[in-house]
Amino acid sequence: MKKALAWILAAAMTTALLAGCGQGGTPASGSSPAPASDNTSGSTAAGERTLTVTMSSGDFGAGLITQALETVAANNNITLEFEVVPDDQMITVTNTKLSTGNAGDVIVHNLGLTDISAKDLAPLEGEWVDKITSTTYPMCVDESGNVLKAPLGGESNMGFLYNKKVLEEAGVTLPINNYGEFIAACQKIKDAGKTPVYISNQESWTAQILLLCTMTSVFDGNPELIQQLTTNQIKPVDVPELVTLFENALSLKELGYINEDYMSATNDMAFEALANGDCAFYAQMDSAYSSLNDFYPDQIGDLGMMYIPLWNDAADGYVLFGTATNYLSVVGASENLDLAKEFVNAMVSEDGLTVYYDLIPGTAPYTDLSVELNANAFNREMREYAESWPSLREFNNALYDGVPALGNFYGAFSEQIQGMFSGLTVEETLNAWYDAYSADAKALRLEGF
Amino acid sequence: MKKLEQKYYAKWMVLPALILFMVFFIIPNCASFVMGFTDWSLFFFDDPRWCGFDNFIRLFGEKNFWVAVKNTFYFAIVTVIGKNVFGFLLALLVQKQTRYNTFLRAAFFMPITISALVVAIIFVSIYNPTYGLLNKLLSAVGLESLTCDWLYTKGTSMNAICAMELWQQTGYTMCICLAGLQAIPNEYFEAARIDGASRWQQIRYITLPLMAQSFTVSIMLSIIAGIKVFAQVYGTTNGGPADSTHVLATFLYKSFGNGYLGYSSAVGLFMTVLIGVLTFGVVAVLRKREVEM
Repeated sequence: MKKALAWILAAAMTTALLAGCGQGGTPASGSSPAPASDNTSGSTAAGERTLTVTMSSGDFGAGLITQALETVAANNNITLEFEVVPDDQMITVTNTKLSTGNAGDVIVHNLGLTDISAKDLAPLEGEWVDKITSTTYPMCVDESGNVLKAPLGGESNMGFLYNKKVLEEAGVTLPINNYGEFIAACQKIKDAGKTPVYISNQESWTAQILLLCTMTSVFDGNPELIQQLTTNQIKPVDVPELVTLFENALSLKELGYINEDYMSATNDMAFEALANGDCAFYAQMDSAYSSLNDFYPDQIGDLGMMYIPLWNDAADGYVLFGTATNYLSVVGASENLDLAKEFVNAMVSEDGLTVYYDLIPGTAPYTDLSVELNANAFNREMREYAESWPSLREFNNALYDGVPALGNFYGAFSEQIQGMFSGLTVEETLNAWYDAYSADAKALRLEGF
Repeated sequence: MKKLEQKYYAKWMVLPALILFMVFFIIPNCASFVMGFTDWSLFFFDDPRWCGFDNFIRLFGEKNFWVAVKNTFYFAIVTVIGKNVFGFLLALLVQKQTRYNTFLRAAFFMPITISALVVAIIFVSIYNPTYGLLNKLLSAVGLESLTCDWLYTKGTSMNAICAMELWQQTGYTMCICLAGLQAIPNEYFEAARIDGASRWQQIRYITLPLMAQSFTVSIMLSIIAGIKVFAQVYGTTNGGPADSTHVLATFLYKSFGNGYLGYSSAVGLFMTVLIGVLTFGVVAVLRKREVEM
């Protein structure tokens, strides 16, 4: 009896151990009920067509992307289960899951092919491949020409969102062409009792937009500088044009043109201040339109979007047109490979894109579509500016002679700019950026580092 | 045969726990020790290369690492002292068995039941300079000059995080002290009172020496918690701004998040050694002061 009991206990404990080590089948959250299905391929149970989609908490949290994905999935008789990864762990967790064959079926992400483990992604194909814009296409293909990312989200603009009423009351007229004119405008706004520029520095990614929108022109058309930077022959602090731009950005704080609670202010607080006319400018992406439209439908008409004129000479100015904001990739080791590819093809078909852009208006990363997709007012305004200004991307995504040469040199840029507004000098900020990207370069075993 | 069965009976019962311990502790720690000497990263996940002491040279040469060490020690020292002093005082306060004290004990212990991350989110709201309860309260009582951005001002950020930890964890130390207090035989105090000892003298010459065992336990646990601090910083400042509030665990987490797996192993190894040396050192000192009852 005692012996039998011992065996039962040992077996129970071993079973518990194995169960604990096993892979959980429960999705993190957000699973939708499985519709009845008579399909055969890619299922977790007979009669079901279910895919596991990994995405970041930022993309999941807003709800609109998941709504679009689920709508298209339901139209194709597919059920989605979502695995949600915290924003700041997206690279680590995704790559770990890919390396261990545990990444589900589809990944929604905005990671570069140098960040994500590209060898673990499945090549994609479809009519849509030939329609990807020339801006976004280089971000989707590996060195062998395999398309590993299907672009979904709009080609983002970054710039200043502004409140038309605040500018009008302060006597500021657009366009503003350079730093001198911008500072003069800020003084007028401050004199009118409003905050000229809102900084939401609690969230590290927002303040960097000030520089992402202004520093690409330093590198554009300067291959020698890029070569020196990427081979560690020169540091950012040694580039006078960069120093000037960083000083101009920091001067907004030193001249008292930003909100007092800039260190603890959040993106939501910025939206509120902008919509309610408490501030004039806020650096953001055009995709903010959806949130602003949802929360401030009565004030959305008062808001516009423009480039960020922190350059001293208007000849260095440009309008930032980025690449697609998010992409779909299929996991190479997916048990539902065919179904996952079918879903991606459905998602980036004209019907799928219509569903997506009705929910999240923007400029689709595709050309030659037979349907007109819903673009937002911010996009349209930026396109008008782009008729008289050059269009460039962020410095790390921009193509220099057809190559994203600074793709590995982002160096936690957002954190560096957050640090600058929190009290670092321009020199300290540029050196911190150098330290961060040189650590990446060393890990990537790049020559010179 | 039966003797043989009896000999291995206990060992079989230990096996599941031993497997768990091996898989989740011994093997990862050994692997971590080895990986600390490689350049293993997410960029070359399948191809780690031996790099000798490079990770440690980089670690000790990194400015942010020393900021993290300084902040970790600051947090550990402040919270070890705070938790044990306040925990002991609270234990004295609620020592007597009354219905009111039972309520107080539960109230003081309650915060420990909340997740540290949830507490961090609550305190981020409390410390918010614009809408936060603390600044509103200070303004309401005429102390507007003291209001500030508690989590993002250089002089207050670490103190604000320490205060949060004290609020949450002091109840736990109180429980350890309470157990120690209740283990002291009442006859000692009665004898002291007959001899004319004041309340302070009773605490100084009876309570404190006989509480040494409890203090050893609570100080040891506080040191370990202090050096391992993570959620409190991660949930409030996440080490920012400009890495000024990093502690060792968030520093490690950040380097891991950047994909530097070998380097992170080196940081983890340093933390393990640090915690081990500090804990065993302090316990060795405190043990000598313990009094047998």
